[in-house]
Amino acid sequence: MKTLVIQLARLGDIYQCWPTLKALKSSGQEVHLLTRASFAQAAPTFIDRHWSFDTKSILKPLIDERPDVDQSLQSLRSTVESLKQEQFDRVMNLSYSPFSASLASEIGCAETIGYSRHDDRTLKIDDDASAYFYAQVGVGKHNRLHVIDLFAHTAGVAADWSFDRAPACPLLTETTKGAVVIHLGASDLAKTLSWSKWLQVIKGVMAGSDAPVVLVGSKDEAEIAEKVSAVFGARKPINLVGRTSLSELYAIIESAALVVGGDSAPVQIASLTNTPVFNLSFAIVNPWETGPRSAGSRILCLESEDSYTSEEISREILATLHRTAAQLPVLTCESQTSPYSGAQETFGWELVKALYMGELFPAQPSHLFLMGLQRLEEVNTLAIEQIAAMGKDATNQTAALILDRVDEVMAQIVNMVPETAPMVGWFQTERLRIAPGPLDVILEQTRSAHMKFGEVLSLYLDQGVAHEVAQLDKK
Amino acid sequence: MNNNQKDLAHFLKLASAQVKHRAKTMDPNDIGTLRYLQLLEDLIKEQEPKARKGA
Repeated sequence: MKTLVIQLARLGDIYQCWPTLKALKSSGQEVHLLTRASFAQAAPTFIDRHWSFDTKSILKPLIDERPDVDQSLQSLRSTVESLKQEQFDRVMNLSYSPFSASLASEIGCAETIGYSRHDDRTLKIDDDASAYFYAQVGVGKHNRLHVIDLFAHTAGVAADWSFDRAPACPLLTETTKGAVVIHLGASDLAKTLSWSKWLQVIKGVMAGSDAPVVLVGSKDEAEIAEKVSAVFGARKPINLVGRTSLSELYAIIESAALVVGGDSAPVQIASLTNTPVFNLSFAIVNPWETGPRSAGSRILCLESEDSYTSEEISREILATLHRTAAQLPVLTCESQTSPYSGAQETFGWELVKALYMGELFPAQPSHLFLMGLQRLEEVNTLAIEQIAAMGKDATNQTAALILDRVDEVMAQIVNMVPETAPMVGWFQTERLRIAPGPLDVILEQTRSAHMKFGEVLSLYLDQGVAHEVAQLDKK
Repeated sequence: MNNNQKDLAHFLKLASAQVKHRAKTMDPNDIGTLRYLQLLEDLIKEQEPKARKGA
């Protein structure tokens, strides 16, 4: 089988696809990978072919002094036609984005997994794993499945972590082996510490360990690294920022004793090389989804860099390095194949597991939750009535207008009662998966989705509870 | 949004206007080109500096 995997997101996302790509390759498939041109270096060497999507060449003609839409179209069409000519048996879109959905649809294939588009350009999500991704994955949501496992599940494989060792690298010397490798930067500055905080943290680490400290990162991060290393005297961090290719970085991380950083490519590489990580995870990231997977890793969640002092952070880094007990509340990773430990289950996660994995529905967390469900049931019942009305008269404008407002009202309820989000997300995604077609078919499938939603709501709402909530409402 | 992102957003807005204008002046029977214009529009939207993910 000839498979194209589309991964048009950033470096970290490409590395997180590696266990899926390896599994596909190990199963005997011909594996092609499409990434953005600027991230081509992150493509693994074990796949059959890498394709570059050159966004710049497509968009540049549009923003020149004399915009040339025809040239843009030609460049785009040429790229897509090349991919079409390969006649892939299957396209797997692991990018989960609007554009990648359009691209996957345009390449056209007998089997497309992940986001694509219907002929009317609406979003098409055929497989359940991608529907889960759409409904439940992202910052602020309750999901605790890692994207590496989600990618593998979407592809229908078990993640394969068996990678060959990196080839010899001249930068890997006796002074860089066994180092504490620190990545100061990140794709977003909100995902890392300020340079002054990093400076204090690194001082603390160097005071507590004889291991060499190696700074890594891209050329854009060189200024921060220079500022930090300039402060040190005779014993200073080895500054490799802006001086390594991705394959050299891979080799350095593979031989490191520990990697320290935020949500970034070096941390994702460390997951693949099974090098322990101390991960600083800020609020704009969901650590459950993108944290390190290497044995011995620890994740420290921070609201901001002021959440902990630099002494506390450097002590925790040293505890991770020396494998001594953690002092701060961290998530820990025992192995590449096991989930994180160190956090209690939340109602939201238990509700997600009940909706998707057949586990028991958790006990209601509060009266406010029940009130939220009551409101959802009222909206749901109203929607079913409008669908019935439209079934009798397809031109019923009043019913159509009311149905249009249903999502708006549900969003307000979720805003007031966030615990209802997994349920509403699940329902809205199932409704979105209804394909274009004759009106009577769409109405019936929409009605069916609302009925299923009602069944889930009724698990919590019975006569006694509904009465209790109604009484509360009167007060 | 920093200055680079503001510049990018400005250029992308111009690019989007170009593409939309092109789509409006096209023969609607040229479905193939229209689809590519829609693809281009999606690509432009995705470059805009904003939070990642979401469809």
